Formats: sequence, structure tokens, C-alpha cells
Amino acid sequence: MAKVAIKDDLFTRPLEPVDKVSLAGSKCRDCSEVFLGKLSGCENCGSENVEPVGLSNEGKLYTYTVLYAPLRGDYKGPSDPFVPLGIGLIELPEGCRIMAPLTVNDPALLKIDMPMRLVVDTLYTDSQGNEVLSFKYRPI
Amino acid sequence: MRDVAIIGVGIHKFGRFDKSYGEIASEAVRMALKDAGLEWKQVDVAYAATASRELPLNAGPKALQSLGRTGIGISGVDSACASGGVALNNGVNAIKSGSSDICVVFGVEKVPSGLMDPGPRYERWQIEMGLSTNPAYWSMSAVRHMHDYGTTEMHLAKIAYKNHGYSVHNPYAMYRKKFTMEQILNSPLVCWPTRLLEICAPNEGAAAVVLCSAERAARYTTKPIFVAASAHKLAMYSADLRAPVVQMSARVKNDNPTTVASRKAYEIAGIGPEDIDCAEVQDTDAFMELTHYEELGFCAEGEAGKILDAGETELGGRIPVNLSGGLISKGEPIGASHLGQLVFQVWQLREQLDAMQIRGAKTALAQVTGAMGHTAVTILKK
Repeated sequence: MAKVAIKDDLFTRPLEPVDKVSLAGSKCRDCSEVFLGKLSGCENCGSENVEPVGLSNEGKLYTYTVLYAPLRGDYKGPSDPFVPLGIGLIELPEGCRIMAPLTVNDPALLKIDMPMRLVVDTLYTDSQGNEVLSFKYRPI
Repeated sequence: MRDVAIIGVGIHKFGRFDKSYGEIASEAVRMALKDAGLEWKQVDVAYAATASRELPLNAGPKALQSLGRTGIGISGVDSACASGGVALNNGVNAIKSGSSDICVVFGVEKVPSGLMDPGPRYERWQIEMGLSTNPAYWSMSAVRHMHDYGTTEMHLAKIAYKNHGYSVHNPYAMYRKKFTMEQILNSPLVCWPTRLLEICAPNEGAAAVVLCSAERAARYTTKPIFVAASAHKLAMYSADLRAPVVQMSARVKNDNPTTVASRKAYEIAGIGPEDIDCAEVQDTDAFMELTHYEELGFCAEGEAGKILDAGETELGGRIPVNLSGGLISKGEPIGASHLGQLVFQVWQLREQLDAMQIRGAKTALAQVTGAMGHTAVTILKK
């Protein structure tokens, strides 16, 4: 089955093998801010002078939560029954903090500043039979 | 430029009702007009705050058709949880500039119970990955504040205890029940560390104010309340960990939009946070009230827990906050939320409240903040 990205600009290519896929970003050549995905201009300084960059696979946990209330809308994780979902902000060496699901959903196992690593894997299979890749982070 | 007065206020109870949004809105507007001793046909412009997809397009003008279709301009404002403050800002500017003599500003909403529909506010991939629920963002801010400043679960519970406690005196609140600290701390977790009794419910309701110029106000009321400042801001880059952000910067530190909007409001009013006698703030969850103490300048950064513990934000304290019971007990009919705060603060300054009355209060603040960092701060003066 073909692999597709949950959002086109989030990942480096090729999408296989998945363990070699990283997050793709954009860097402002003027103010050096780094963003997840593709941008047409810098949200910090407004410059159009933005270049694509790959993002590091490892970072540290800046903050986190665990969601216990069932999500509304078209959530693709386990929802019948809903399994509590860990969510965190992962600070990367590039100077940005990425919002992402976590592989851990027990607050007692999460600690600010703990090292985390990117995991890219299949979230669901779409109606055309493609494996849709998304990302999350796991403690190292 | 003319000064602006509030000469009438009206509210429809916040909760869940077997009524249309038009009926709910009309009740609040009729009450405000009656309070001002005016008729709808004397109003020359109106602004309507709504912020959910549950209402149709043109909900503002549709809502008031039963008051009579007088043909005045009624325009809608959607600025997320700050919609009411932004609609007020429009009304204030209309009176100030002289383009309007009598203006109605109202907000109305009908939002179902539970977590809000993420569809209108998040991208598809965020929804599919589970990054699409507002309380997760608030809770992540709380976890970091606990780490940095020693804020505790007990502080969050104390906010809920205080606000639920006040709600029994507010006939317009959805939940009017006092809870013990034990009940609050044993209520189910919604999002670590935020519990069910520490979070507000989106719901239904309406609120309205009638504005005119300060010099005209004496024709309609002996107790005009003046709008000393009305400010609206969005979050600057990476200034606010709030839906629907994808990321934050680890390098750039911009001030939170509540800090920026309140600074602007204090400047317009020519006063400082030390001059505020009482405040209604956006306690969508207990932690948000704490962080707003700091952002509004009621205490230094990191000291919110300390002033809460010292009782400074209780009735009788230095700066009582959310004497209405807050959103935690009233619920949040998004578009009506800020106008509901203003109705309560007008009653406070007119000394029309009972148990929650602060004798001699002269200056009152109201603040709302939401998606994209939309933030409104209004300061009222006797």
C-alpha cells in the first residue's frame, strides 16, 4: 500500500522507509525562526525570504497534558472506547516547540525536560487504501 | 471625541433552553432597552457578537427581527471568545465618532454541551491527530506554570471553589451550586491537571448593553456607567499557547495578549491595575484565572497562587475576581460572554447587587480571551 502524509508539507521525502522520515520545516533567512511545514512568509518578521529545512528528530519535553475527555470531530485514534491521549510541546534544537501527540498517556511517566524522539507511523488507512502517516513523540 | 456611557443592561440566563437564539437574544435586548427607558425604534445602530457555527450566517440581524425591522445597521462580529468585547469596541467607536446616538451591543449563542466542535477552528490534520481540543492547550500552560512557579492542583481547586461559591448568588448562572474542595479535587480529570469542576461549559445565553454619549446619558438614567477603555488585541507571534497553534518559539518572547490589551486599556483609561476595584476574567478553566491575575498586572509573574492564597481576589480582598461566579459556573455562551461580564459589572458599579456587592466600587474591569489570542479588555467607571 502507498504511504501518504497526513499533511503534504510536514515530512521529508521519500516516505519509505518510515524510520528514515523526519519532520520538514521552514527557516527564515532574516530572523532565523524555524517553523513546522511550508510557509510563504515568516510569522515572526514577515520576511518572504524563507528556505526549507529538515527538523531534528530529538528534542525535550517543554510541557504536556493528558486528555481524558473523548475528542469530538474526525479523530483517527482509538475512540470506541476513547483512550486517554498524551499531548506535549517538544522543544527542538532549531528553537521551536512542536505540538504533538505522545506515546505515553500517564502524567506520572512524563516530566518536563525529558528527552523525546520523533516517531512517524501509520495513523489510519484512507478510503483509497493509502496508509496515512502522522507523527508523535516517545520518551527516549 | 465623545465619552461613552452605558445606560441600560440586559441579560438572558446562561444555560440550556428550549428556545431559539432569537428569543434568547430578544429577551436580553428588551431588558436592556427597558433598563434604559428606551424603545427599539430609538436605536440607530447595533452590533451582534456570535462565535459559533451553531448559528446561521446573519444571526445578529435575524435574532432581533421580532423587535421590529426598523432598518438600522446590525452587523455581526466574530472574534472567538472575545467577540462581545470587539462588538462593544465597535459600539463605543460609533458613539465616540458621533455616527450613532443610541447603540445596542448584544451577544447571543447556542452551543451544545461537551467539548466544542473542532471543525471551525482547527485544520483537518490537527483534528485527525487529536490536537484539536482547547482544554489541552490551557492545561499545558498550567503544567508549565506549576513547574516554573510552584503552582499546585490545590490552587486550581481553590479558584473553582471560590467561583462556584459565588455562583449561588447569581440567578443568571447555569450552575448555582457550592462544592467542597474535596468534591472539586475528586471530580474527573478532563485534561491533566484540569478537572471537570474546574472547567467551564459552552452553553446558551445572551446579554446586551445600550450605549450613548456621556452628555446625553442624564436624559435616560441617574446612574450612567462610563466606558473608560475598550481594547482589542490578537496574540503576537508565539505570545500565547492557545488553540489552534501548531508550534511555539523557544527563542522569541512576546507579551501575552491579555498583558498587551490590558496595558492599552489602562493607558486609555489613564489608570493602572492598582486602581481596579473588581474584575471579571476569562476562567474557561481554573488555571486561566490564575494566569490572568499576572497578565492584568494584579500581581507579578509567578505570584498568582500567592495572592489567591492570601485571599486578595476574594470578596473583601484587595481585588475581588469573578464575583459573578465566573464562566466556571455561568458557562460560556461565547458571543454573550463578555457582555454578560459587563452587565454584572454595571450592576456592581450601580450598587444593585446583594451578597456580591462591593460598597463604594468605582472602577471595574472585564477581560475575555480565546482562539488566535483574540483578547478584549473593557474598563468601566462610575
